[in-house]
Amino acid sequence: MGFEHLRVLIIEDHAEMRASLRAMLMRFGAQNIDNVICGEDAIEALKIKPYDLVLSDYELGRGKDGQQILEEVRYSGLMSASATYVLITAAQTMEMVMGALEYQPDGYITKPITYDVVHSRLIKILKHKYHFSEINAAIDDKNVALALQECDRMVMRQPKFATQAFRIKAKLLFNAQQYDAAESIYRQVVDSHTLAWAQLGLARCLYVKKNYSAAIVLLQSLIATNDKYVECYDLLAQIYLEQEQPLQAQTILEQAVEKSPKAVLRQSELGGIALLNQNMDVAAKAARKAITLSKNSCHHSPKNYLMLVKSLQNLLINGSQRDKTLSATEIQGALKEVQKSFPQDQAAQLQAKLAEGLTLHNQGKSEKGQKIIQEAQALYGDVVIDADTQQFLQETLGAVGLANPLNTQPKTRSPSKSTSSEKTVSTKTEGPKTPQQIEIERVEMENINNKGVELFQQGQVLQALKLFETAASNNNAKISVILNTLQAMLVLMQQQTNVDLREFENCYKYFNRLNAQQSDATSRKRQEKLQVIYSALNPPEHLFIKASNHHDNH
Amino acid sequence: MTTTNNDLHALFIASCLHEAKNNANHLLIHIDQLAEHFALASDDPKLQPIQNDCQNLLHHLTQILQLYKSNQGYRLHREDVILEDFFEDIQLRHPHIALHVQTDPDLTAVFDEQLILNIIDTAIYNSLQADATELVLQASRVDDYLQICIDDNGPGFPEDFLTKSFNQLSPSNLAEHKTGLGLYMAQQIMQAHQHQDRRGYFQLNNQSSLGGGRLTLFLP
Repeated sequence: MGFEHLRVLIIEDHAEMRASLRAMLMRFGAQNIDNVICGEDAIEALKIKPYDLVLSDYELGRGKDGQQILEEVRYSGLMSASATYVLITAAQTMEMVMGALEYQPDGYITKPITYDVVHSRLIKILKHKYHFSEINAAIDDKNVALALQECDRMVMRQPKFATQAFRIKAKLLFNAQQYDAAESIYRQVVDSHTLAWAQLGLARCLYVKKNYSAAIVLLQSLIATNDKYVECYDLLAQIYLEQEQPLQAQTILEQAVEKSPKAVLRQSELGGIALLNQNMDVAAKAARKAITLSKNSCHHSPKNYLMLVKSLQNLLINGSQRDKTLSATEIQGALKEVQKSFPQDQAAQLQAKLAEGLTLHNQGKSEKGQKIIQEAQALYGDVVIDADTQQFLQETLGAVGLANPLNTQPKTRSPSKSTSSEKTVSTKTEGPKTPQQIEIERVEMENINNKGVELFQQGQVLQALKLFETAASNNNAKISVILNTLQAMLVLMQQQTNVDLREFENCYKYFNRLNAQQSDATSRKRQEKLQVIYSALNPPEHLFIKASNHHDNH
Repeated sequence: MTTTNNDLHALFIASCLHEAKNNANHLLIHIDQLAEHFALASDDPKLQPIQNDCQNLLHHLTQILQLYKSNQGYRLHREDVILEDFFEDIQLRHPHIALHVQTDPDLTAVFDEQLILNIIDTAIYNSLQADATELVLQASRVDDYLQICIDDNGPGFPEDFLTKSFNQLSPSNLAEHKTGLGLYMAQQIMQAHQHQDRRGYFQLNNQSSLGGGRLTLFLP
């Protein structure tokens, strides 16, 4: 196994360790070695150069640790499946690192590092990786069918890697939404071995199939055997949200962040749920954590700043004088950050303006506040981009006494952000419709859709999207309407620097609606094009779309 | 969560132990480097006692840490382990010992690598203490269990060990300077390895292929 052609990145804050690792790698024959001293630099380096081997210390001072860097680069696709990531840990932190089930490094090297240990471990890790090179190449090519085939071949030819091949296969199937197939693999593994990743995988399958009680039992038993498996807490919280038990969800996530305080997405999720529960202290704390942790990372999002602003409003009204002053300063800073860092994100800008008005109102400057809110409405139209923004708009208008007479219907708080969009798309079930009614509706929808196309062609994408969404909310909406909706959404998403998870979830749902219908060749082509755009936006893994439904099933 | 003073004391002790263990670890490396510098043979009579004492120190510190951890309950991190690789790692950890390994290259099993490694390290240490000079590690699957045998060419286990239960630490052992700590913890670790209704366990006998003692681990 040669090191000569490997592009190597060393992530190590300790100068002496860095030098000694570098010297060792050179002795192994590596010629192309870069080093960085922290996670931020590592991510920048990985953006520029596709490394074959990354060696990272787990403990890296105050910034991200090696596990977090791994999670970020795998999550955002900065490192291909074929590239090797090795974590160097002290024996006593091993246990800490071992908790992560989802993003595991290709191998560990435990300190103290000596030439012999590093050499033999690295050779072993690279050899092992080499065995999986066909599978990983197919994954990197996004050729799921081939990757699955390669997994099967591995099981046949190299029985000692069978369990690991099953693990990859089940995950691929899950991401391709073939939940039954994924579930049966996980079950098969769980029956013969007690393996945490398989149990968690099985719980995920049960969750998407809405078998919540079985999933909860499984997750709780997993946590009982190892309370460090924080990913189990995440899934449990999701399930509680789906079951409209946001208080339980919050409790679970509070436990999770206590065990693993450095995960941005978890802090952010906790903040959102605490806000929903009106638990402002917890929300503010989580928002602050998420902001600090996400600086200079792919998770930097306006959401956390807005969350902080919302959670501090209460203190503006009921807090001590000191609270009021401090909160006002903090709110101002957060809003400024949203304006400065996310100018493209219209929903965030609208929310920031609304929050600014609300803040003034809560500080007793009602008139000024109302004026800003009206300005915001004028500036961004009454175009509502996502459910969260829409809800905040209604709340703000209500709070400052500007309730929109057109929207007298009070919106019920949706218990879960992820299902809110589902609710707007669902059918109105007020008894069976007569054929005439259906026909009238169809014509109406057609008109709305046509109006949308007009606006879209004039470049008024946001307004167009609103019309398309209205048209698509009909369950009998034509395929072209759904395609239009998706196209408008994707155009807007492409303009943003940070795409919100909910926007992916929305698109994902529309794609699923398309996949459930028979479509002609032209629509299929259009759908495929849109899927390419969607995938290029880097959706999170659980929202990946199957390549396409007709040459995937064999 | 509240932290009592006792918890804090325990934490401080644990972190001091960690430090001490690291020191011992480094000491071993420094000794190696020193030996290399002076071109000493690995069986140099002046070198070996230092190395042995250092190994033993490291071993004892590891044991105490294990005991501390077991007090908090074992958190198993089970993984799919390829036995051939696992044994190779163990050989690498004990470069100065005649340690032979036998296993089917395709044999895999699911267990907590770190904890089982600990049991085997302890077994090796005890064998060396009993003047064994050669060991064999052997793994095979028998029925639903993975069996790992650790054979040595020492004097074998004393008669009372063969029938004894290691479910509890006994104070009488302490007086004899044989703590039984290693086997007690081995027992705990093996039992923590449970799959469905089967638990792990171990057996001691003197039917070693090398004429000494044999420790067999049974993992479900």
